[in-house]
Amino acid sequence: MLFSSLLLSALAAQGTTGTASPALSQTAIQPDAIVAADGSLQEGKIVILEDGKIRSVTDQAPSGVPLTKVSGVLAAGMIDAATGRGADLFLTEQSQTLTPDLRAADGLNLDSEAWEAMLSRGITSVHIVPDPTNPLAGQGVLVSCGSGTGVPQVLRASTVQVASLIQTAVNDDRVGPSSLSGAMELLRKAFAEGGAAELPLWCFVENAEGLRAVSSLAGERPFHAVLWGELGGYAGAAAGQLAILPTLGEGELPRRAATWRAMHKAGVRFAFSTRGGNAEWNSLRTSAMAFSRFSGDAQAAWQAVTTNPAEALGMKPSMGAIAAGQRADLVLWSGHPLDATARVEAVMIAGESVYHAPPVPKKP
Amino acid sequence: MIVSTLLALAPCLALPQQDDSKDSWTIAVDQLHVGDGRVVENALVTITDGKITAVVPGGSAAGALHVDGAHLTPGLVDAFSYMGIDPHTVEESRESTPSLRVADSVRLDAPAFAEALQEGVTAAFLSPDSLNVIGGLGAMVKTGGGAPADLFADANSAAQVLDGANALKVSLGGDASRGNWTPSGRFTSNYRARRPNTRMGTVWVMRREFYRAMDYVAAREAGVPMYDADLEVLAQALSGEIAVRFQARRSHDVETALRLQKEFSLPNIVIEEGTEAQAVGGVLAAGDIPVVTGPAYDAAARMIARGPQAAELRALVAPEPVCCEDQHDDPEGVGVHEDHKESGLMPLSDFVLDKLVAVAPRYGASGYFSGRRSEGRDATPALAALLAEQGVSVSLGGAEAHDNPLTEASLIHQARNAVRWGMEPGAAITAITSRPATLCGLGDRLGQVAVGFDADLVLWSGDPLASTSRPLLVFLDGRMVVDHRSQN
Repeated sequence: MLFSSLLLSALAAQGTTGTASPALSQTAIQPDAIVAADGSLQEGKIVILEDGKIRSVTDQAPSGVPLTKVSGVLAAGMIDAATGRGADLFLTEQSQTLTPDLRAADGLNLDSEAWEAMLSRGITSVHIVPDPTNPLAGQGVLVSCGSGTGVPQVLRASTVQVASLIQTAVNDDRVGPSSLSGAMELLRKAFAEGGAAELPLWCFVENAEGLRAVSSLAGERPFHAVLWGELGGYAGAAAGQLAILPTLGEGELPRRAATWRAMHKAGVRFAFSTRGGNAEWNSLRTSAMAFSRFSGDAQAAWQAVTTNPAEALGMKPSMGAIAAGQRADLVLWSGHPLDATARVEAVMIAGESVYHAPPVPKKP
Repeated sequence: MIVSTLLALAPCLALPQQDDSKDSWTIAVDQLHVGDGRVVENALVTITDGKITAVVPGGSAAGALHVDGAHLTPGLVDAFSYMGIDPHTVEESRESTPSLRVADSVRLDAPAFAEALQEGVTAAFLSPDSLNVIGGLGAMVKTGGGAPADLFADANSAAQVLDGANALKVSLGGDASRGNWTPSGRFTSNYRARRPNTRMGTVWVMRREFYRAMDYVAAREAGVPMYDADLEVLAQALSGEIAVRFQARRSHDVETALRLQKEFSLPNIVIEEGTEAQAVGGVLAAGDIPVVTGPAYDAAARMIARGPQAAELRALVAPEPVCCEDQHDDPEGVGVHEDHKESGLMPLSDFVLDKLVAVAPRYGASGYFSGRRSEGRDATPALAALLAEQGVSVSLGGAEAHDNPLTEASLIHQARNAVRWGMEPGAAITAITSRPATLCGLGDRLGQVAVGFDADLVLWSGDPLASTSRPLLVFLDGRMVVDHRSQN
C-alpha cells in the first residue's frame, strides 16, 4: 500500500523528466529505519532514488524532491548466490563430460511461479547455475526477479564458469571421469587449451582435495567454491575464502551449528545459496537468522545474503546494499529482516514497485 | 603457596625445551645414523628454525636434549606409498593419463599420514595406482606440518605436498589390463570396456603413447605451435626431466622395462616393486637403474588383515542378486554383509587367488589383489639384499603399509626385514632415508642428518633396526610432532 503510493509519485516524477530540473527526476523515501550494509539499523535516513538507482543516502531531504514517508524498515533485496529456481526442471546436460559453453540463461523459465515467490520473501536477484553434474558444467546467469513490466530481467547472461568436483561429476559411470584426479586432469587440459571461457570460476566441491586442487588451478581468476557435503571435515581448506554455502536443510540445524561457528572462526566468509540447500522459499533468510545466532555475528549473517553474494558475482559496486550508486532493489520489511517477527511489506526493483504484500488481518 | 612450590620445582622437573611449538633444539645423541650408511658415536645436533644447523661429532652441551642409549636417524622417506589415496580415485575412463596428478586427490588429512609419522616416516612419494598403463604424476609429501582441512583437527596435523609432479608412473604386467571388460558378451556402454586386455596390449599402448610424444617433440622443434598436456608430460619423461617409474613385478616385466628404456632412450627410469628383479640384478646394476621394492609383508599377518574371508569369497564367486538399495550403494558390493566381520579365516591356495583376481576386477583397485601373489612366483624376502649384493641401488617402499596399521608392515619394518634377510644395516638405513630422497629429487634437503638439511629427525629408543626399538621423538621441520618418551 505504501509502496504503491510511492510508485505513483515516482512515476509522476519520471513523467516530467524530459525538460524539468534534475531534482524532478528524483524521489526520496524516508522509512522508519534502513538496514545498513553492516546489518545495523539506522534511523532517520532518507534514500534518494534516480533512474532506478540509489543516488544518495542522506539525513536531510533535499528541496524540490518529492519525499515519501513509509513505515517499516528498508533493506537491500536479498541475493541467492546459486539456485536452480526460475529455470527449467533440468539443467543437466549429460551427453558430454565437458560443457563449458552451456548457458543457464538458455534454460530460464520466465513464466515460473518462482519469481513472485522469491519477491514475496525479499529476494530480488538470483544467480541460476547449471547443475553440477559435469566437471565443467557451463555458465551461470544473473536474473532480477522482477521489473516494472512484471517480467524478470536478465542482468548478466554469462556470469561465471561453473565447474564441479562432486561425486556425480567425478564418477560418471558412462564415459568417465571415474575419479577426482581424472576430473582435475580434464579441467587442467580444458583451461590450458582455452576450452573454458575466461570468466570467474565457481566450483562445486565436497572435500578438501577437490577444493585445494581447483583453487590452485584457478590461479589469477576470481574463484569461489560452492561447498557441499560434510563441511566439518574439510571446510578448513576454505579459510580466508568467500565460499558459497547451501542453506540450512531440514533437521540440519544441530549439526550445522558447530560447523558454521568453526568455519566463521576459521575466517571463511559465507554467501548462502538454495542450490543444494533447502527448497523452502524462505530458507535464505532463515539460514541467515540461524547463522546469526550460531556465530553471534549479525553483520556476517546479513552480508551472507546481500553483499557477499554480490561480491562473489563481481557485482558489489552495484547491488547488495543501500548505498549511493547501487541498484534500487529495495525491500520494505515490518521490522529488521533477521528478526523472526518481521515480514515483507513491499518490494521495489530498479526503483519500480513490483510487489506488495496482501493486508494482514488485524486481530479483533 | 602450592603454585609457587610447583614453579620452584619446574626447572628440575622439566626436560629441557618442552615447548613443542618451537623449531629450534639441541640434541645430544649416543648413536647418530647420518643416512648415508655412516654411524657416528656421540654427536651434538643443533636445529635452528626448522633446519639442521650443526652436527658436531663428540660434542656435548649443557641442557641438550638427551635420552640414554637412543639412536638418531633422519626422518624416514618412503619411496613408494599410497598413503591418503582413496582406492576410488583411480581414473579408469582412459588407459593413458600422463598428466593426471595424484596430488589433486590426495587426502592430506588422512589418518595414514599421522600413523606414518608415529612410525618415523616424515616424507613419502605417493604413487598413482597401477590400473592405468600410463597412470600419471606422483607427489612428494611431508607427512605432517600442513594445515588440516578438518575444522576440528589439531593445527599442523595434515600432510603437505612438496612436489605435485614428481615422477611418471607406468604399469607393466597384469594390473593395467585386469578388469577391463572385453567388448564381446559384455555390456559395453561403460568405461570398463576400455583397452588393453592383455600384457601385450599394455606395452602396445605405452609404445603408441611414447611415439606420439616423440612426434610431438619433433613437431614443436620444427616450430609448429601446439600444446597437449599429456604429451607435454611424456616429453619431459623422454628428456629425463622427470623419472619414469615402471611398475614391473615379474622378471620378464623388468626386462620389458629395459627394452622400452632402450627403444625410447629414457634417461631416467626406476623399477617399482621388482618382485622378481633379483633375476636380472646384474643388468640393472650395469645400467645404473634403481629399484624401489614393494613392501615385503609378513604373509600370515597380511592374510589376517587383508585377505578375503569366507563370506566375501562366496559373494565374489557367486554375487548375490542386487535387491536392496543399501547393498546397491556399496561400491565393493560386499561390505554390507555384516557376517563378514564374524567369519573366520580361510586359507587360500594360489589357484583360488588367481581365480579371485579373475572374477573380482573391482578388487584390483582396492589393493586386495594387487597381484603380488599372482605376479612374482619367485618372490623372496631376500630381494633387497640380493639386489644390493649385485650392486643395484635399492630403496624400500611401504606401499599400502600405513593404511594397514594391523600388520607389521611400516617402513622401518621393511628395513628390519631386509636386514633379517641379509642386507647390510647401513644399506638398509640408506634405503629408507637418503637414497629415496635422492631418487625423488630432494636429496639436497631430505634423508640425511647434515647441515642445511630439513630438521626431520627420529630419535629411537635403541638401534632402529632392532625389533625392540620404537620412535621416542619425531621432529618435522624442527617441530616435535611425536613424543613417546612418557611411555618408557
